[in-house]
Amino acid sequence: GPGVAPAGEDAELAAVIGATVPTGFELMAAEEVQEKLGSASRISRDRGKIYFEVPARGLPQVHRLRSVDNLFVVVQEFKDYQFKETKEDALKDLEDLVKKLPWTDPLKVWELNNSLKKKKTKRKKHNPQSTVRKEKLNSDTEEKEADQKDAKKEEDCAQDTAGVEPADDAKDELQAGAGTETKTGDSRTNDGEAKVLKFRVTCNRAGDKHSFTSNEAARDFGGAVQEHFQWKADMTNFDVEVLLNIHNNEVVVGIALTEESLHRRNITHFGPTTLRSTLAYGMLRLCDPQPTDIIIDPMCGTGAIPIEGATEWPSCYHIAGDNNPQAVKRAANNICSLLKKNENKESSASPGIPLDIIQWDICNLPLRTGSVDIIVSDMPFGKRIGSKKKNWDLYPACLTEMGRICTPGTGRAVLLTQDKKCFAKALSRLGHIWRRGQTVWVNVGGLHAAVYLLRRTWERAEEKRSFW
Amino acid sequence: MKLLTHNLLCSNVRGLRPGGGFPLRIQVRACPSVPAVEVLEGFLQCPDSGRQFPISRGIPNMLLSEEEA
Repeated sequence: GPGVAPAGEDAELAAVIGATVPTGFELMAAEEVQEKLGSASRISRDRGKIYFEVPARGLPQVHRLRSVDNLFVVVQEFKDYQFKETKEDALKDLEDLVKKLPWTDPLKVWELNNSLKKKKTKRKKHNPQSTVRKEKLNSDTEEKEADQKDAKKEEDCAQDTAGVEPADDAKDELQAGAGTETKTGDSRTNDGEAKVLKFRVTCNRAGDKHSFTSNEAARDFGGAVQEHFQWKADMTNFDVEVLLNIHNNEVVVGIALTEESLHRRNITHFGPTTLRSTLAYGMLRLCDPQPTDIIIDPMCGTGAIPIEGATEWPSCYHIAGDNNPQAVKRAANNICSLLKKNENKESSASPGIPLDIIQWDICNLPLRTGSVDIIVSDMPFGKRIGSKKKNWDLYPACLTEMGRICTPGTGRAVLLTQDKKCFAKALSRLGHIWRRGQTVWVNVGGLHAAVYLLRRTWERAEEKRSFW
Repeated sequence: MKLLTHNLLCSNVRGLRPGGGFPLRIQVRACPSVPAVEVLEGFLQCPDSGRQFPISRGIPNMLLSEEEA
């Protein structure tokens, strides 16, 4: 099994990291990687994934990427894997592959990553909200599943494992909020004796020419992994998650570095349609915010976008607004949680966050004409909140009012909507106010949506209606 | 509500003169030793119509009623 690397070797250790990002924002994520890590990325044909190389000591910075949902270390990539004809042969082939793979370095990276995670858990106070967060995550998933009947199913995404019964020992340091009580016995186990590791295999398979299912591949590959390492298979309390990603002829074997998606990081109080932080980040990046820009989200919901904005672009000023009192309350609570988190990090003064919340009506905003540089928002989807009929009236009114408050010439808006027809129609009547820029096609909870970048024309808006 | 936000806010009451409704008057319980940099409780008053918008827990409520809108 993998031992602890001798001191000094880790400095030269490099890793190829795979990152999952919101589909459509691969280029944006690659930009962030270039900016923050100095590494160039490859964008996979398997959408929503990028690959880049970093020295192992760069792992902490990798975890701070804002456009990334999940991370894994690549064991090996096969650009054009030749699968054997029959199911039996193809599966046997995958089994035989296990002992040929270069596991050593990736496992060192996995270990290093673990020690980083443990440091994080030690710093975190026991947070009762984390259980609330997990419950809400489940209800959100249920909602997504209901929506998915609308989605085009092109991938066979079975989360398969070669696991058996869960381990008796419930203690698992990888669970969030586990606290800091590590018995002396445990720390000795990690450094000295080789603890038997628990693992599972997750297989994602896409393509119509394979003779086997993801279930079968996970099962057989997992069997070979168990044989090779003498690890114990465990579906729920695993230490190592081996990833087997098969996309047509592209096969990638990896080891997961994140156990829960980073995209929920900012939000502790969920609403029914809370936007992923990674998607919020991508939308904000699309506006190219400049220092001192005023950025507003006039339909903020639980505040995912303004909170991400205030965190990543602190030299801009952010205002969140919504007409719904529950949304405003939740957004305020999320900001409080963020303030408390900042308070814990720094010992004395917490500098505050350049973010404010207002309760208002999107169709009659209490904002001065031309006073806002950027508008970023997740427009109500017909199927999730409101109705398609309401959108027909709402969209033109929204776009008009947003046009009024936005600075002519330099202002811009980035708007996410699933109701593309309605949006296009509303926009077609406002060509004197908004010019269409880039469009990014995204997937939100199984629904095909679009992110539109709009640029404000130089034409001045009328002052607010004085008489009616 | 922070001061910078106040710079951007204006009254959305109907029927105001062009350019009216700005700046909103900040009304807080007088506390002479503490300058109001962030208003947690108080009111914003439209200088033209006199309409008051409440601020509660730092959040201004700028929604007009059905009749006003």
